[in-house]
Amino acid sequence: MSDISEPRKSTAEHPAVLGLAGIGFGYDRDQVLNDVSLQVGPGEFVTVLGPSGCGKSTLLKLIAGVVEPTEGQLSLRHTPADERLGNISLMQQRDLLLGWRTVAENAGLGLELSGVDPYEILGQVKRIAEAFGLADVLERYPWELSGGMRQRVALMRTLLIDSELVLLDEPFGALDAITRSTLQLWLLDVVDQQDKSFLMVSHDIDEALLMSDRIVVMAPNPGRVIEQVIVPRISEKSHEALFEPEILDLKRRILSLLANKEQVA
Amino acid sequence: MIWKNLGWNVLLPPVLTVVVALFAWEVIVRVMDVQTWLLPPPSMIFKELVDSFSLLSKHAGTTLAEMVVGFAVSVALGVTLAAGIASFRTVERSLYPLIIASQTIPIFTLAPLLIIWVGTDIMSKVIVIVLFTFFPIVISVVTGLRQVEGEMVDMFRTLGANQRQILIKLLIPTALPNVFAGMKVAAVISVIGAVIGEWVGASSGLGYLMKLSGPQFLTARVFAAIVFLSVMAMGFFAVVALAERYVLRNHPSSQRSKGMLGEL
Repeated sequence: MSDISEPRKSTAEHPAVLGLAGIGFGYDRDQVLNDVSLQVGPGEFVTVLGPSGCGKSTLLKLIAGVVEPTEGQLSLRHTPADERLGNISLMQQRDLLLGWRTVAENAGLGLELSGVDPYEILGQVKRIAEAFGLADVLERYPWELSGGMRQRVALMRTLLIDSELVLLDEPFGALDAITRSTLQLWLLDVVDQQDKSFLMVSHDIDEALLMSDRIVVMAPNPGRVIEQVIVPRISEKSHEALFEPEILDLKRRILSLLANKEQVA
Repeated sequence: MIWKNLGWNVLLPPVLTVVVALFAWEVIVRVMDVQTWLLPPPSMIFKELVDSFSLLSKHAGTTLAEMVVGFAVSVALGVTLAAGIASFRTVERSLYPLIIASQTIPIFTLAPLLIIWVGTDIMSKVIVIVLFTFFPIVISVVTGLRQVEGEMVDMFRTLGANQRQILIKLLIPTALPNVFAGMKVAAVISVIGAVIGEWVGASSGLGYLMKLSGPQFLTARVFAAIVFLSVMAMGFFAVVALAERYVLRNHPSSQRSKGMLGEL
């Protein structure tokens, strides 16, 4: 386990968990991503923020290994880049639960695929089910659950596999606003207990400010990084903290960045 | 309520129709004094069913055995072919058009060839049944496999799944409702394959019995055999439908109610 007292310091002295250098994706006119460079440090929570269509989801698929970049270098701390499938967790926007499996069977899917013994899987699932608020529904089927619960099952499946980097693709994008804000705070708690780095994509500035240590702002056509900002450490992460002057200033700055680029595009 | 809907409202109209039709048949045959070798009345067919029950049952046993074996082979072959077609481009390109084209050949005309090649025992009937039934299975399973979303496959890949795991844990379960749909069609038409196979060359079976009884003007027996075949086909369908209900009891396709457990 890493040092939990200071879990999210972006550090220069540690090698990055993930490094992207000049990543591009697309062909000729259909350039989806252009020259994307960013790093995610150990224990860091980074959010890639940008409007729809700026290639955020594609970026995560590239990092996860589902598709390969057409340009640039991708490096991981402990895994060769060509072995990243199965070693990086990716949670997509939709929960993608298998309807014929119970909550426990869905959550343990990653472990099952890597050949872990069924009893061991059930043990691991039960151990963390309480923290996910799913202890009472492990034998239920996805169609019996609400959207927020399904999303937590998907996150449980994502976090149960042994990886040091977790990619989140608008994890709460499909939920209503109230459920979303509850789950954001809950996810912060879960993140604090994990010895993992997180890279989330979002188009929600408040979500990015609330969750992240650092925000990478992207613009579309083609998707590219226009700015990286460090989110000041706020004493207690909560939605009230979003009204602190420092955070409001930052929000204003990000909004103007996005607005300027919108006009250009 | 549900029972009432599924029970009387659904069952009563067809049952009534059949009863009325049988009654009309009986009356017309008696009033017009139709020769029984030409068209026996329902009462005579019923009497034949009772009197020749053991004979009919014996032949039904042969036909049923052919149906079950043919069906099993057909499901195994159909699902394997469908999996190959859905997984590999080469297999799809080289086989799928041929499988579709094969259905334009009247299978009835192949039966005599099969008798020449493999003889008059169960094997020739099994092959005819397979020829009849594998097509609906292949088509519906391929359709089912193609329903699998790309995002799902990506999810499996990011969890480190290999091709075999994706097939077994994602593709097949997704396609299961379609597998059963194909199997239900196959179950019903397997009886046609069995009778055609027996018609061309056999030493027992209901098709053989009908072929034997026709020229002797044992028309009531032919009808009795048809009743037997029809009941067997319906029974076979029911067995597959029950198996479907059991296997898919937790499948989202058979979900009965959407329960909500709290807001989150």
